Amino acid sequence: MSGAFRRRWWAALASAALLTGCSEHLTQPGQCPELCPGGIPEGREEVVTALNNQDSTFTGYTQRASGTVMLVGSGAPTAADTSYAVIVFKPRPDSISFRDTLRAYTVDSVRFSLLTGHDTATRNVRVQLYRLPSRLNANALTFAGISPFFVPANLIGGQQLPDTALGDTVRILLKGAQLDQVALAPADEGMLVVGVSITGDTPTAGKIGNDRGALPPEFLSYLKPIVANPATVAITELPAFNDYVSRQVPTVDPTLLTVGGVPSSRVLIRFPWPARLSDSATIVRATLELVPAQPTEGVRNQEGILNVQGLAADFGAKSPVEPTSLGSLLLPFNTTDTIRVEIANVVRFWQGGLRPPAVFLSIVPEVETYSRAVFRSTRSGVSPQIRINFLPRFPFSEP
Amino acid sequence: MRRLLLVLLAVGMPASAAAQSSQFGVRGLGIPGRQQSVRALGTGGAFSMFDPQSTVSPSSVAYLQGMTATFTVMSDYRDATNPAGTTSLRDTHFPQFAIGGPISHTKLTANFSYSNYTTRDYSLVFPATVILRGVPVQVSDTIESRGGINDLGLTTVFRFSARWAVGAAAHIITGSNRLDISRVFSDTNYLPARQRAELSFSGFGVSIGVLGQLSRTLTITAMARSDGHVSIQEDSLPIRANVDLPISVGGGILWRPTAKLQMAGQVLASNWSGANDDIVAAGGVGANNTIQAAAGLEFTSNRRRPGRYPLRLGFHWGKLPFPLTPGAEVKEYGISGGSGYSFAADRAALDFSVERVWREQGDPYNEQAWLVSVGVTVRP
Repeated sequence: MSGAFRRRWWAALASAALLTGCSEHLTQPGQCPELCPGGIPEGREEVVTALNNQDSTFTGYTQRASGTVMLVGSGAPTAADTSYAVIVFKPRPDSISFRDTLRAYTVDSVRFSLLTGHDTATRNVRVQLYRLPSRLNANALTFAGISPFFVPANLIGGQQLPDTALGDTVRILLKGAQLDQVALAPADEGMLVVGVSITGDTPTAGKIGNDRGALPPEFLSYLKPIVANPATVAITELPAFNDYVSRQVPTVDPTLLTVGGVPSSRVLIRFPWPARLSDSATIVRATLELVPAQPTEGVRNQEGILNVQGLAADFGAKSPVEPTSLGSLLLPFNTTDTIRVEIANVVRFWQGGLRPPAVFLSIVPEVETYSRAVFRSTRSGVSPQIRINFLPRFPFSEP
Repeated sequence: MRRLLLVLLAVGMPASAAAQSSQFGVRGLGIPGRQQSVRALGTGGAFSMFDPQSTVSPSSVAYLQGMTATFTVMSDYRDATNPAGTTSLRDTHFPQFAIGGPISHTKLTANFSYSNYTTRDYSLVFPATVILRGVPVQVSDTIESRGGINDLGLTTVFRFSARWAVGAAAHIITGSNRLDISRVFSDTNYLPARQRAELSFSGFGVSIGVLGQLSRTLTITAMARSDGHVSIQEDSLPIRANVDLPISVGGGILWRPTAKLQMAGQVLASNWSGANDDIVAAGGVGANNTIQAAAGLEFTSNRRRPGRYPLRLGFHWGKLPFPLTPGAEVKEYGISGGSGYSFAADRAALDFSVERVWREQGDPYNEQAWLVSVGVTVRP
C-alpha cells in the first residue's frame, strides 16, 4: 500500500466518521417570558351560532325498504311503541320429486330460522312467531290490521334469547302436534305468513334480519314422500315479502330538527364563519352543541351513531358530503341533556374557504336503528351552535 | 498511530459536540457566528484577522498562496441552565466555507465565502396548565427554531507591496429561519396544534481591511464593516421589519518572535445597540453593543511543514448582543487549543480545535460548552 494511498484512505475515513457521527439534541425546558420570543401560544374560544332559518330537516333519504333489518319491539323505544314483523314465505309446493316421480308428502317437522339482535339489558327476551292469515294484503299492512292476530291462539312457537348475547340466530323447531299451527290448507296455496314479536320482562326491542340481509329468514320443511321406504326431503322457503308495522309513526315537526327515524331524516345546518377563524388560526377543538326538544329515542345497547359530516358543496338537501370530514357520537337515549359532538375535523375544512360552513346530521345505520332525536332549532329559540377553541396565528416575527 | 488518533478524535467529536447554538441565541437575531476557520478557533480567534480561511477581515485573504478551499464542521456538548433546570444538549453545524486564491498575473486575490452570521437553533418545551371551557387542562408547548442569517462574502485583496495589502468585501446577508410551535393537550378532546413559519432575511454589507507587515516579526491589521440593515419577511407576507445591523471595527497584531512561534491578539467591536430600537419595537428584549478580544499563539515544530502538528492555544472574552432580560449583559469567554495535519504534499490538511466556552447572564442563566471543530482544507 503506497503512502499516498494510505493518506487518502485515512482522510476518507476521517471524513466519513465526521459525517456519520452528526447528531442533535436541542430540546430543553424553557422559561417564559425570557426564553419565549413571541410569548406562549394563546388559546381563545369562539361560539358560532347557526344562521337564522338555515337549519332544516329533510326526510326520505333512506326508505325502510332499503334496510336489512326489521325493527320489532314491545313498548320500546317509547312506551307507546310496539312493532311487529310480517314475513310471507314463498309457496311450498304440494308435491315433491322423489325417485323421479312427483309425490304427495307428509310433514315430518319444520324449522324457522331468524337472525336477531336484541337489548341485553332486558331479561327473558322472547322471539315469538304467530300464524297470520295467508290472504293478508301485504301492500296495505297496518298495525291495527294485524295486531288482533298476535294472540296465544295463533302462537306458532317461540324461543328465549340468551340474556347476554347482542345477536343470535333463532331456530324454532316444530314437530308432531306443534305442526298444526303451520299446517297449510289448500286455500293457503302453499303460502305461510307469520308475524314476529319480541317481548321481555320490561319494554324492549330488537331487530330481525330480512331478505336483504346476509341471513334471511328461513322456513325449512322436512317432508316424507308418501311412498314405500320414504326418505326425508328438506325444502327451504325464503321470504317473498317481509316488513314491519308500528303502533305509532312519528311525524316530523318542521320547526324542530329531526334526525334518524324511518324513513330517515337528516338535518342541514349552516353557520357563519368569522374571519378570525380563517386559515391562519389553528382549531384545536370544536364541539357542536344541540339541545333536544324531547328525550332522545333509542333502545339500550342498540344506540345509533349520530354522524356530523361537512359538505363538499352546498346544494341544499342534496349536498354531497366531504367523506373525510366527520364527527360522530353514540347517541344516548332518553336524555334531554345537550348533545355534544366533537367536529374539529369537520370545521378545519372550512378554514381555507374550500368547503361551505355547513353540516349534515344523520343517524347511522339509517332505518336500522331505533335512535331518533329531535333538537331545538333557530325557529324554536335555541339555536345549534359550535363552541370552538383555537390558537390565533403565533407572532413568529417577534424577536 | 497518529493518523488513528486523528480519526478517533473525529469519531468522538460529534458525540461530544455543541456549536453555535445557545440559549442566548433565542432572543433577537440569534447568537452571532464567529466567522473563523478551525485554525483561528484553535487560538481563541486571535489569528482570525491574519488567517486567510477566516472571513473576519477581508485583508487576511492576502495570505492565500494558491487556490484553497476550506470546509468547517463545528459541534458541541453544552449544559444550559435556566430557571426551568439544567439540560445537556448537543448539535452540529457547518459554519464556514471558503474558496479563493490569487488571480494570475495580477496583484489581486479573490475569495468567496459562506459563513454563519447569526444562528437561531433551539427547541424549548413549556409544560403548563391552562383553563379551557372552565376546566384546567395540561398542555405542553414546544417552540422550535432552525436556521439563521448567513453571510455570503466576495472578497478582493490588492497587494500594494510585499508588505502591505488592502482588501474589500461585499456581503450578501441572506438566510432563513424555520419556526415551529406545537401544543399537545392531556385531554384527548383537544387536537394537537402546530403552526409554522419561515422568516427570510436579506441585506447587504461591505467591509474593508488593511494589512501591513511593519517589520520582519510584526504585522498589524485593521478592519471595518457595515452591514446596513436586514429585512425580515415572514412567509410570503410583505416585508414586516427592518433591523439595523452593526458597524464593526477591529484591529489585530501578530508577532513572530521566532521562526517557530507566532503570537497574536485582536479586538473587535460591534454596535449592535443600533438594532435595539427595532428589536424592542418588534416586541423583543433589546440589543447591546459587543466587544470581542482574543489572544493566542501557534507553535510550529516543523518549519518546513508548518501544517504538521502545530500547537495552537488561545483564549477569548467578549459580550453577546441579545440578552434574555432587558438591561442585562451576556458575557462569553473561553479557552481553546488545536492542531492540524497536512498531507499530500501540503495540498490537503485536517485541522482540529477544542474549545471550552462559558456564557452567562448572571444567575440562573448560564451555560458551558465544549466546542469541537474540524476543518478540511484542500489546495488543488
